[in-house]
Amino acid sequence: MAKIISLAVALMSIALTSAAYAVPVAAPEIDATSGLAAMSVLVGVLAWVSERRRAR
Amino acid sequence: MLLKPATDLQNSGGMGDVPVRWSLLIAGLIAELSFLTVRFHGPGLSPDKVWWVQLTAHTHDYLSIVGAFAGAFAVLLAPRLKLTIESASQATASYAWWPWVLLHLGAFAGLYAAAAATFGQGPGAGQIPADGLLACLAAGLATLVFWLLACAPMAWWGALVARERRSLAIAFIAAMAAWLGGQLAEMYWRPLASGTLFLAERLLRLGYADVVSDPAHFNFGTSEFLVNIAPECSGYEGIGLVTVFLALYLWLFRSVIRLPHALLLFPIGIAAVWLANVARIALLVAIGTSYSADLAAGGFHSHAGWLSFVGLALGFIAITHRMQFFSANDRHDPGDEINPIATALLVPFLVLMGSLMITAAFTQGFDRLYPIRIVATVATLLYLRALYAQWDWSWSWDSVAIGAAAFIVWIALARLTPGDDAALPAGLASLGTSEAAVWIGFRVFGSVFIVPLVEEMAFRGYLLRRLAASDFTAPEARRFTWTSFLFSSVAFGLLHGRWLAGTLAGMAYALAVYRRGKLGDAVVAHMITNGLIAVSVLAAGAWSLWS
Repeated sequence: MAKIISLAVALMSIALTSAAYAVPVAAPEIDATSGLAAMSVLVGVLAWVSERRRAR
Repeated sequence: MLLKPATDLQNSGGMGDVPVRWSLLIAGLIAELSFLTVRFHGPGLSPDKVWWVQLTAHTHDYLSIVGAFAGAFAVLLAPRLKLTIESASQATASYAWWPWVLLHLGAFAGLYAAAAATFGQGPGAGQIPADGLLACLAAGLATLVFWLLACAPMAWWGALVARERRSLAIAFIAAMAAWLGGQLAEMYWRPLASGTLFLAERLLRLGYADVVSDPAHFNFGTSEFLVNIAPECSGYEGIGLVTVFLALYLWLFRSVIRLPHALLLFPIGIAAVWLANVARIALLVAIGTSYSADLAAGGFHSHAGWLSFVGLALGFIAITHRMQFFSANDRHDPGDEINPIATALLVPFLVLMGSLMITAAFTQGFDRLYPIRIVATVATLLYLRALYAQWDWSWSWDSVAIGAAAFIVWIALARLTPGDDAALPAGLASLGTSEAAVWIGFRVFGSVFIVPLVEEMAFRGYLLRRLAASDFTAPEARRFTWTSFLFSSVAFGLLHGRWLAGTLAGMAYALAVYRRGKLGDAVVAHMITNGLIAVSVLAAGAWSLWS
């Protein structure tokens, strides 16, 4: 039963979100037309400079 | 060989199925909220309406405060997130959570019915009945309470509130401060806009003699291209973004930043982002006057703000790492260096994204500068080639099947929302024949070979593993965890225009890499998907897949 409920919640989420916002049409590459792209650059740089190790 | 085979594909154990259940419940709640906010509109403000109707007109503000509160609390809870999920897993080991989901769905149905009866007549439709509003509030409260109980028992929530009361209070204060800041900015944007107009006009006069200005209506420009400085162009959006970024950055990286010296970055950042906005507006008029009005009002207008914000934020990261005045370098071993494997996995993606943002600001409609970002990314890959030469890039035929399956899902979902197959050929027609052939060549090469390689290194090579273990090069980073699988796939999907197809494709590529622990499998699967899409575009004329 728990799995069925999980599946129902997942499908409902997809259906409701799709109904609320039309799925945009875009190429199968990362979309630069939103603030998400800017945030991904910042998060990526922060992740990169935080990955430190002992110099060899 | 730096990328070793997977050693443990089992669940991490301590967290149980809580990450999956919570992810689904959070996704469900966001979907429900999205649906309600898009489906129904408040009555709008009007002095002739009673006070409870006036309150409903501020629904957008309430959602903003709740969103800011959730974000701030997530940041504050981050160091104890694993502990929190593990405690929830223990508390729900024999907990019947699904009846609460059924009750939640029932309450949401009631909320929808009450909202339809109360707000269904559309915006501005007269007075709202008090009993209808009360029914909405009661159903909304029941929806939220049942949702919380579906996540975990009441006793667990009580313990969480008691343990995190300080973080909850700080998050609430931060959310209210953010909301109040936004309100003040909207009320007092005119003085800021006047300053922006004054400086932008002086800047423009350096290059143009026919500058015209109407400060009373915030219009300025040249005789050929005129702009109006709207409230959101006055500079306060950038100031808000920089303030939030610096607050988060200084908090998260406080161990490597010298405080209180770094607090000086707040006034520096606010002044810098405002000046950058002045330069953006002056440049916007210059581009509109001397080059293209469409480009100025389209691509540049919308992207230059993000570009200047990202540029400034990267500048802050650089100076807090390099300038002794701001950096707590003495707390680090001088023998430390940035892990070269992280450099190899992330830097090509950062170059791709950075060049993509820059080229997007200088194109409108047709993506004619696509070859530039492929050249920049290939140059980065060549620069780092010595690192890649040490890795195991072997792949299996199964990854070809996974890539083909992802293609089928992509196309099936694309057919649900057919795009404009005529737009891209129209853009290509604006180029000469040889130029168009070169552009298509770059598009095929970039889409099929470069982008899959770069994206897979960042999402499956780094993010998937970094979310599974604090050391992404450790063997335990290769194990399957629901958190890393779901989060990395959703992040991949959100960054693509087709978020649902992108998330499912991200899951497929993650499964490809889990099978043998080889990144090469995910890269090949992704290349197959994009290769089949390229064939669909060129052979069947499905140009919208590339638009």
